[in-house]
Amino acid sequence: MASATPRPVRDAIQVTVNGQARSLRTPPARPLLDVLRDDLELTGTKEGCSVGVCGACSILVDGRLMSACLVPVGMVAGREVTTVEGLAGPDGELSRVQRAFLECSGFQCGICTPGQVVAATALLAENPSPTADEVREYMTGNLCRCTGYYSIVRAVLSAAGTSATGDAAKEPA
Amino acid sequence: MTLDQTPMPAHAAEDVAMFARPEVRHEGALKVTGAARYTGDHHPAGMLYAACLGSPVAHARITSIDTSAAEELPGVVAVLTGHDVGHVLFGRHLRDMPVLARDRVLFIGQRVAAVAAETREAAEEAVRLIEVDYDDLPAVFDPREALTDGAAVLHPDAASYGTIKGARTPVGHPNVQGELVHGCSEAELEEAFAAADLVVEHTFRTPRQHQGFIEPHGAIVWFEGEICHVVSTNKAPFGLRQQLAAATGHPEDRIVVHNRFIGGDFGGKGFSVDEFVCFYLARKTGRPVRSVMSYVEELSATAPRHAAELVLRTGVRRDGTFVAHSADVVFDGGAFAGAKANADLILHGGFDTMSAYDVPAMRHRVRTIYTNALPGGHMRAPGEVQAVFAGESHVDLIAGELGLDPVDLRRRNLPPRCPLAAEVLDRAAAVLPRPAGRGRGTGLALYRRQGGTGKGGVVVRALGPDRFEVVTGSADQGSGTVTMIARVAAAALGVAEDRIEVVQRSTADALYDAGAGASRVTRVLGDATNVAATELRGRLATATEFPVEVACVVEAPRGEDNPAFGACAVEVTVDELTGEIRVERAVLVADSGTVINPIAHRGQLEGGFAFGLGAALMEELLVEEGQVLAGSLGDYKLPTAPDMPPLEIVTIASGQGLGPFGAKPVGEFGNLGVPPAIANAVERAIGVRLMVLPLTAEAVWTALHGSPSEH
Amino acid sequence: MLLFDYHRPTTVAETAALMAELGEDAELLAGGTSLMNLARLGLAEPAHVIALADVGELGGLDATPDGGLQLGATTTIRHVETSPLVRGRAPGLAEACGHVATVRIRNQATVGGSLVHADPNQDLPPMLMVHDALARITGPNGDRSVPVAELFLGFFETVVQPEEILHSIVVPPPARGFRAGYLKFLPRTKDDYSTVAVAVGLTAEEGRVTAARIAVAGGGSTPLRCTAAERALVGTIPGEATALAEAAALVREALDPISDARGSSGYKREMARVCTTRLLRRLGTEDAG
Ligand SMILES: Cc1cc2nc3c(=O)[nH]c(=O)nc-3n(C[C@H](O)[C@H](O)[C@H](O)COP(=O)(O)OP(=O)(O)OC[C@H]3O[C@@H](n4cnc5c(N)ncnc54)[C@H](O)[C@@H]3O)c2cc1C
Ligand code: FES
Ligand code: FES
Repeated sequence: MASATPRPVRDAIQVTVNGQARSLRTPPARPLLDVLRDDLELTGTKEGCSVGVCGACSILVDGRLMSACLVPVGMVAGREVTTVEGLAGPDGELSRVQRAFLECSGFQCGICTPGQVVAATALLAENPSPTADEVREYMTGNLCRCTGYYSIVRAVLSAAGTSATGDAAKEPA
Repeated sequence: MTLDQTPMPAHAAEDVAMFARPEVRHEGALKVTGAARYTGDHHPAGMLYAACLGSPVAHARITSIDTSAAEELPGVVAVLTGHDVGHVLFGRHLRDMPVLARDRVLFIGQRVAAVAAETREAAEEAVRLIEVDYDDLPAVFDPREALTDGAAVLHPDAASYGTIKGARTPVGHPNVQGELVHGCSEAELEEAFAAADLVVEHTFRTPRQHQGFIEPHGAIVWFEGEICHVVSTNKAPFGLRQQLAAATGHPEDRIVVHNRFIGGDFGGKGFSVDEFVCFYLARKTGRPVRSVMSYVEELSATAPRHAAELVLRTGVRRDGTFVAHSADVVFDGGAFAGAKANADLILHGGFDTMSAYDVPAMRHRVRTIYTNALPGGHMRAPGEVQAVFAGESHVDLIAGELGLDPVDLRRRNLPPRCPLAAEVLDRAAAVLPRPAGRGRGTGLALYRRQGGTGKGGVVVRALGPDRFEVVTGSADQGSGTVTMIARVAAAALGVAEDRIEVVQRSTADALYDAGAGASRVTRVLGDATNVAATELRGRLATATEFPVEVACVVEAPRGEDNPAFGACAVEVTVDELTGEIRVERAVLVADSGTVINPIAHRGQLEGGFAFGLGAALMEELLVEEGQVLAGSLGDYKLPTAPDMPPLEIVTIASGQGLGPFGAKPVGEFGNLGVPPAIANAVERAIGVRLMVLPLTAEAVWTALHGSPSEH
Repeated sequence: MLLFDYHRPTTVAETAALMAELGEDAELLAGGTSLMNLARLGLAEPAHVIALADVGELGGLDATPDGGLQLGATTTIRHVETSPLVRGRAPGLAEACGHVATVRIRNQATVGGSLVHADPNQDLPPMLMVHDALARITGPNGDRSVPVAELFLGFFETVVQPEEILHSIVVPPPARGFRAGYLKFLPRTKDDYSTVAVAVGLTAEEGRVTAARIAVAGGGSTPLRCTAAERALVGTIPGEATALAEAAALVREALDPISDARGSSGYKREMARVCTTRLLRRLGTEDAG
């Protein structure tokens, strides 16, 4: 039976990161983003706005899209965290979404790209064949200052295997 | 070899044909997997975290600084103030910015003290423990007011400031950063105006806007003996090296800058801030020091687009021929001029109010003025965004006055013997026929851009008969430089693209490059690659030993005529009950010469369009009495995916550019025309003319209905 | 940011005991989307945080036997938005949830946090108000039930006391002929707090409005019910032009918004009027669900 006032979390935090069990000895209040980047050297997850707006820190927690900048690491104890580094296959072969981003150049500077790729992965898991509008809607929270989103939408639709008809950016007739 | 005027090597058609194939970015796999390492991703052993204290007041004397509590905080390794650093000034050209303020602060956010600590938390907490007393001084926030007698003088000892090279051009009023007058004499101008049937004058205003890159400024500095190493977000590594040397006195050849991946630039990443304080923290602690700005700092302590006021005056004949034009352009330069890269300390884009047209008598006066706010900086087509908004709105207003069609008026005034300009205009106009009905309208803007100039070099090396590398010191801020270089090299060598590897090297191991910016990379580095690779191809025939290499430095002379025309046309609907403007569809027409990276080229235009859409409709970095009101990207809103309308891109590949194979610059081409095209469309939709950016729903509503009553 | 201690109780009783022991030094943490931001900016500096995620009793989304809904405090906004149950019984609620920030935030932010955070610009409170939802609050002296419409006292301030826990929200079964809708006015970008937003609930029988609810976000220091406008609608034909214009004008008069980057006070009032008009018109032509 639990005592009436349990002690604060002081033990190591047990969490699965990209399929690997990790035991983290760190203050549970720290943003998961800092722990991923500084302690686990998983720097693919980026820090942009730090306040939940830009999506550069997008990760999956138990498969759900979240902002690593707003998650205290204590919150993921016992849960499964997936970062961009966890998307490629075991021998480094790109995931379907990654391949589509590469082939469609769904990026320029690339700083938002890990977040875009993670968000697109979450989208396609929920909705395997989205329309262009559904892609834009779902990925509203992933800012990109470089591309105007056109090539990102093309990449996500290509990953889904849906045609880009209805896509906003058209080739001239 | 160094060439000023590069001869254009001739190439076989089959070599050039490869440019039609869509490219796959060479660095793409690193980016989609998260393996590309940006500044904040580096974590050298023993690294300390830096945090800075910004001034909370706009203009004040510092009377005391107490850092004792900060120094005692566990984990804190060093605390620096202006007194520790000394009188060290930095800047891209004029060195007027102290690394840390000593006795006076000039804007809210200006760096006053800095901490290096073992953890991010300790560094941030220590900053909060530093106590500073300020004695307020009179501040000035309005540039025109700053020019009046009796206005507070921000830089009383401006005459003593150094520049990166050479002496400062003296200016009249002490609050003037830079002033330049261009064009005919006043007498000639007035004579030309006198011959006009109609003279119209309008005043336009544009706000501060932030570059909005997703990666904030950051830097890591460490020493290895006397060698100072830097990894930072500065997109011009050689420029940073020079600025660091000029400010700190550390010999330039003992500074090595390793910048590779830059998470977005848009003009803002040529300016460095915390590299300088990291230099001193690293030197003091003997350990690597990393500073990454929070977005709060990014919005309040860097250098956004200059706010501007532009007074445009044009004389026309009744048939629509422009006979005279003048513009008085005042940019709010903020508290320091150090973020501007040019020796005139102005934004030359301010001269482009009528750049697409042939006007016999023109005179421009462009000034940048000191005020107690964050410094004005460069942002995608600096000065030109402001000038083109004003100019292209002004042209539509003139058409209205004369009862002429805005497209016809433009066509009448195009430069003679320039069929390309006419083609760009006509293609844009053709896509968007004039829609019927109130509440719906189309608008168009035309512009001409000069490509960037400057110097840059590469080494092209044959490692074997069919394996090549190109060494560049250029950083990658997203425009596809590496891939462009590889494709140019492949075409010039007549080999497959996968035979080429482009390697980015530090400033110690690469030829000088002026850095990405002003749409100059393809022009300069592409050309250098082309020349070197062509020469190397010639030598390969006889080469028996490898490696064989050819180095080439190209300098595109300042003022060279490398123009490109572009146009943006949009169709909008306006909700008259809310004032909301909706862009229903848009077209960008770019005269782009030969396109080397078709996907990146299109990407630049699409991304540029989004950039322009934000500037047109939503972006304003509000500053009140020197205080930036936006605390995060939750307040300073950038366009999101659902905000983007259908966009058609039309490229006119004329092969007439000065870049390799006839390429033309495109980097700052997509955004320029969007704000005036929308403003022009709004007027046609509902008869409301907005002369201030951004074009907010409330501004439209107020123009239609009058000021809303308060409760 | 301050590195608070982190507690993970698993029952309401444990949570209450921790709150009693730690007193003012502790803050509850649900999704953390507000609290982590405030802590990072130094605007909240709790020494202790009590995480609610493992308190099973506070989660869940259930049908109530009478045809209503019970939303646990730690249920995420995204869960409410996508729940077939909610779409069936209170589609207006799912609609409003879909307007909260972005999917990524909705996956993390909770119903309880959405209410106790008490930013007057939030989207969920007005919609819960038009549903006559009740907040169940647990404290040292037992449970109490407060209408969501009476929850808010001012900017970032509610009637939930520091020693209390928001337990759940009960959405009563909608009356026959009830329909609700939400209009979030976003003139800048699609991801923003509203300039102003309006929630309307209408009950109609035999072609007449028998009950109306109108609540507004962004109209003042709290989300606001506009009772005068509601009264003006009763007895009118749904969607009838003069009635809805009158009600919309009364909504405008009820508001006292602050001026900020999303609009001046006067403009926000006018936009509340326009949004109310449009929403009433839309609901007037919709069949009751
Ligand atoms: C980027 C961003 C964009 C946003 N955009 C929108 C938007 O468009 N519309 C909108 O409506 N909202 C928006 N929000 C606000 C968001 O809705 C709130 O942050 C969120 O609902 C808070 O929920 P939480 O579970 O994360 O709360 P937490 O951050 O965990 O808690 C918030 C507060 O509530 C208290 N609390 C939480 N649960 C309980 C409980 N059960 N009992 C007592 N006290 C409790 C906490 O102690 C804390 O003080 C946005 C937030 C972010 C970060
Ligand atoms: S860094 Fe987390 S959302 Fe921007
Ligand atoms: S690719 Fe640069 S921000 Fe998206």
